[in-house]
Amino acid sequence: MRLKVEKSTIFLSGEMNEDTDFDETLRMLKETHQATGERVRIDLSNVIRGNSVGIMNWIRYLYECQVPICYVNAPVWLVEQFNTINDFFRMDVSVESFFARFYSEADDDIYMRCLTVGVDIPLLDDYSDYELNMVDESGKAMEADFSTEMYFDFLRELKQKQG
Amino acid sequence: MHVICYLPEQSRALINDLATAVNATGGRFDVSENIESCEAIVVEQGLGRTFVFVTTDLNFEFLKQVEQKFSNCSSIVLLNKQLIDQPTELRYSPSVVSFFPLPSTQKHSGYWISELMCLFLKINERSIFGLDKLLAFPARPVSYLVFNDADKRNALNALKRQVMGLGENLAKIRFEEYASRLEMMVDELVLNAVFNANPSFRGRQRGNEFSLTNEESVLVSWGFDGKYFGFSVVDRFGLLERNIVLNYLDKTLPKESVLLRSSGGMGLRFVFERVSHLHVNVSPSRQTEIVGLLCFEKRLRDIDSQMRSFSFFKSN
Repeated sequence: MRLKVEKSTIFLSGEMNEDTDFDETLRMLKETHQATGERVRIDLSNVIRGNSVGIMNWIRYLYECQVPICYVNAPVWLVEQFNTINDFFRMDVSVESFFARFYSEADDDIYMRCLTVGVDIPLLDDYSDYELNMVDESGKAMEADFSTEMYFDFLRELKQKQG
Repeated sequence: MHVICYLPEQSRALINDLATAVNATGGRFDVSENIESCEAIVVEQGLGRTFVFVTTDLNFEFLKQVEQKFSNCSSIVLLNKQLIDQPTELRYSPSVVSFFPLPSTQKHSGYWISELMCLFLKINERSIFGLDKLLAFPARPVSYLVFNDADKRNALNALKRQVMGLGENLAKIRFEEYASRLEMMVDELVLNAVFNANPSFRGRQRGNEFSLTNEESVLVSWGFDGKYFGFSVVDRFGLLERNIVLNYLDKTLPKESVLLRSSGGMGLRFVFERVSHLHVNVSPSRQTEIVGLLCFEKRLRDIDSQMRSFSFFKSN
């Protein structure tokens, strides 16, 4: 994985798998936190996928360094893991924005849209009846290509954590 | 193969479709009305080479009676809700070789019959291995042998190229998503085949590079028949047990923690939640084959919410 730091944001790209060496990322996390005193923002939108080994190692490293982080532009594969593995939010972690899939019947294709928490999507206790409608740049309707109850489950967890 | 069905709540049309699937694969089909008539059919016809009992999840009590009376029978349970939402006792019923969804509408019964035929052929011919048995005629599966990390990467890249090629110039992002899902599923199954199935690798960190001998190599295959994209991963050890697989698929388990585990916690459950059909075929101490069939629905939401089948076959 490649790494870039801009102010308090760390941008990672590539794949998160068994070949990924997190040592440099860990060092940058600590340094960025010490330098800014702020929650470190982590942008994984250019990490195209993660396998179980990569994700497990990522979580272990985060536990080890105990730096407060905020995910920005979290990709779909990561959100799916937020909803499967319960370790992500045991640490001091928040989510600012994340990607979701939308289907356009007119184009018969999928579009990715980044949703900002608190702006595009509220923090709720229950998403079972929540409907999310989007339009593309030309005004054509797009439907959420996911179960809102399942996909937004991590938001429900974040809301509970906030109290 | 002798198939006795107990489906009192189902339509005659559905039972006829089931009979067609059995008859087409050279089996004998009977309808049972109660445990006594089931017993009478078995006594009259003899158990024959195989005895398969078909019921739905609604008739669980009857299934238990059948299992008590005929300890050697195999059962197929037709599901009207997801396997992982069924009571634990039904999911772990010892005779069940397959949990298979009921057709969503009678209109779709053609596909249903052909999918059941695949299942009955595997039982009738006692030939359980091979992706080709589950894909329709136009499919031409390709295979890669994996000996090390580089081979795994080559196989995954080839898989990704093929899937993305299917959507080239058209629904590009949709096929990228299919490709990404398939790549992740096959990656997880290969890691399982290397680090879980192989006794000499157990306890090793999955992050370590691996190098396998001929006898340990992993076979990865895939193919597309126009409806399903199928993939299979085969290890040479044949140690996977049915209840272990069911444990992994169990939705009632709490969200997983990966901190104390040797693996990442995606594996079989991750695969099962993304395929239409999951087959696990085991020849004890010889090989385990895990086959997934993914239907390319236009909305990934439909893939995620569809009814899934799970079958577990063990050869003698």
